[in-house]
Amino acid sequence: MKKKYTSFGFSLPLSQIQKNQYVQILSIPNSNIRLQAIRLGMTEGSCIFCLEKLHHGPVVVLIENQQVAIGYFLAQSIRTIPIKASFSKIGGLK
Amino acid sequence: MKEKPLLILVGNPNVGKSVLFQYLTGIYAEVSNFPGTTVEVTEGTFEQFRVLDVPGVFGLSSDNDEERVTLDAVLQADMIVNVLDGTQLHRDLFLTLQLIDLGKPMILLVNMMDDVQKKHIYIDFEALEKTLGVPIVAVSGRKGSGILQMKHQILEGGSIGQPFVPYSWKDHFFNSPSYNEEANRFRRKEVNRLLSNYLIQKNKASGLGLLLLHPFFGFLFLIFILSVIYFIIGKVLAQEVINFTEDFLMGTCYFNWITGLLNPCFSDDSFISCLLLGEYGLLTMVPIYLFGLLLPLVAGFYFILSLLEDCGILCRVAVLMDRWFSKFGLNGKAIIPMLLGFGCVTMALITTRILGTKRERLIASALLCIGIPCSAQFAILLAISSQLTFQSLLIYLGTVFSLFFFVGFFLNHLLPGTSSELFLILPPLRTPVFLNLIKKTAQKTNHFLHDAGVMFVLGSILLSLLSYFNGFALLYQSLEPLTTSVLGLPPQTAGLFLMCMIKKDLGAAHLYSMVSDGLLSEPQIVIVLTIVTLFVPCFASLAVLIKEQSPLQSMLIWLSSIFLSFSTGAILAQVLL
Repeated sequence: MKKKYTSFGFSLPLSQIQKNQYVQILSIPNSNIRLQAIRLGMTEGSCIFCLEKLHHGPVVVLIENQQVAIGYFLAQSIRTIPIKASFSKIGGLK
Repeated sequence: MKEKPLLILVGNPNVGKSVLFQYLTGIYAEVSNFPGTTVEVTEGTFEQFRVLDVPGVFGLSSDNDEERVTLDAVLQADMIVNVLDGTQLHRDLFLTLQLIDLGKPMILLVNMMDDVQKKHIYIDFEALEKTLGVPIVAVSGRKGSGILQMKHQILEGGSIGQPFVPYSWKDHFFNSPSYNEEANRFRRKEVNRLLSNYLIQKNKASGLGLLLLHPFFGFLFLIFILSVIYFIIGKVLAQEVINFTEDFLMGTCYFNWITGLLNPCFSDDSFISCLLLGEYGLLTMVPIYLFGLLLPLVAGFYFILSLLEDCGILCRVAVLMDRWFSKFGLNGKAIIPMLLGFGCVTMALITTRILGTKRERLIASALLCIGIPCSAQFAILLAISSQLTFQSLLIYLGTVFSLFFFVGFFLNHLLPGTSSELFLILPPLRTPVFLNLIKKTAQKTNHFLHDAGVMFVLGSILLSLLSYFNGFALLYQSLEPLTTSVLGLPPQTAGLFLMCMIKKDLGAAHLYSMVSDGLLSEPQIVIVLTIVTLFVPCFASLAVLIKEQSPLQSMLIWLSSIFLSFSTGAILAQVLL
């Protein structure tokens, strides 16, 4: 199944996304984290899924089948744009 | 003689390198289900090769200790064996591309094939092998499948892959961070392109894994785990098992046997008799405390800790606790040294290296030294506290917790700078392998016995000397203003504090026997318990602390813990007595 994403057109910090929401990463300002994130497949433009969110705590996201917990203040600095994921017939993840 | 060729096992954290290392060399390297278990390099041999198991990394750079150690080892290697998690190729192939760019003979081992099959992931190994130009072997470390092919392929030798990044990696590596980012972006694109060959069918986390992260059920589960630990150690082990091992096995059978055997050889008032068979004797107190009292408690505690580690629960706890630790200027990752501290503070002080900044390491070390009792001590504290009334228990726990929070808040506001943010990769939940748990418990308990044994012997000699030459009377007398007047405790507790300074477990074990003998009233138990919990770290921990932090900071931590413990004790004495 290939996922197809449609953008909603407004941006918000990663800390404000909701559980079970797909978002696309717009920017990761912290250069150290950016380097780590690239290794895991999280770059500007990549799509991630919010698995769990703790109040004033970390956001747990799914990046390429890998669960990653991102601290609250770090998540505040990461800009994202909510998207809607739909499924087409063939192909893997982007 | 020509030196043996060097073979290195490299891979992302938690992909099972240590298990495969064990298959190759027969040497047990610590295995667990949280990233960063292998902090040091383990060495062994396989046929004509010298084999190294290095810390797991997500990429090669010289940003942190683990990556530096791994990079150094990789640059010296004659052959690289890259271990990958078959369910996480998206992440792991990134490191593979970096390794291929080094231009050394390589083999890829795709591990966790049992999980790959379970999750219905299809990997086209032939196509991947062709594109990368490196032989691939599919293995399952847990099931032991593919091990023969792995050995066979290693003996046949690897091959040098086609470099992906079009310019030389090594030349630029140490100079330019922006180059690094550019090359990393390039590699990431390549990995994404390569993986269009392989299909993921399901993209869901397990239900239990999510439940553990749930804001409500996660905490509920955490409380449940803590209660189970309390029940097993505080009730079952500390009361039923210890009654048998300490009172009957060691305290009666062994004690009668050894005194019966050696008593006729020495006169009762000789120094030798006091040294070997006296109250603090090398052949009486040391083995009774060490084997009768501490061994069952420590082994039980390590077993539970290993179980939590191997299931992958520890990392989830880190996520739950992140918000609270951020109040101390730490992030959730600090739960790992803190929980390990309940095992052994000395070991935990070394693990503070996983924390991002010097500031965090200092705060975590101070909290470990002041507020966290180590396994033997913790178990004894649990055993004693289970005899207290609920009200006393509440006073004791409340005092220790509030001081822990106070020190954390205080340091966070006092120290300049900021701390690093949580960015933690969560390992999948796995059913632990029983044999692995037993091996790990045995290894850690053995380490404990070795470490504590030396301190116990030294402490026993010192205490016997004091006891024989009437030093205790002098000590009790000189500390009486503190113990009796300020703290409202019997003068013998001065000896207890001295023991705590040598090794906290020794002091705690002595406290246990003092409580069993009924020397202390309930409020006095609460006061002593609080002082012992907050009291200075033992000599072994102090040595590590000086090594990891600066001597000045270590002395400050040491002195402030003495001040804190006694002043808290004095306040409690004013309120309770």
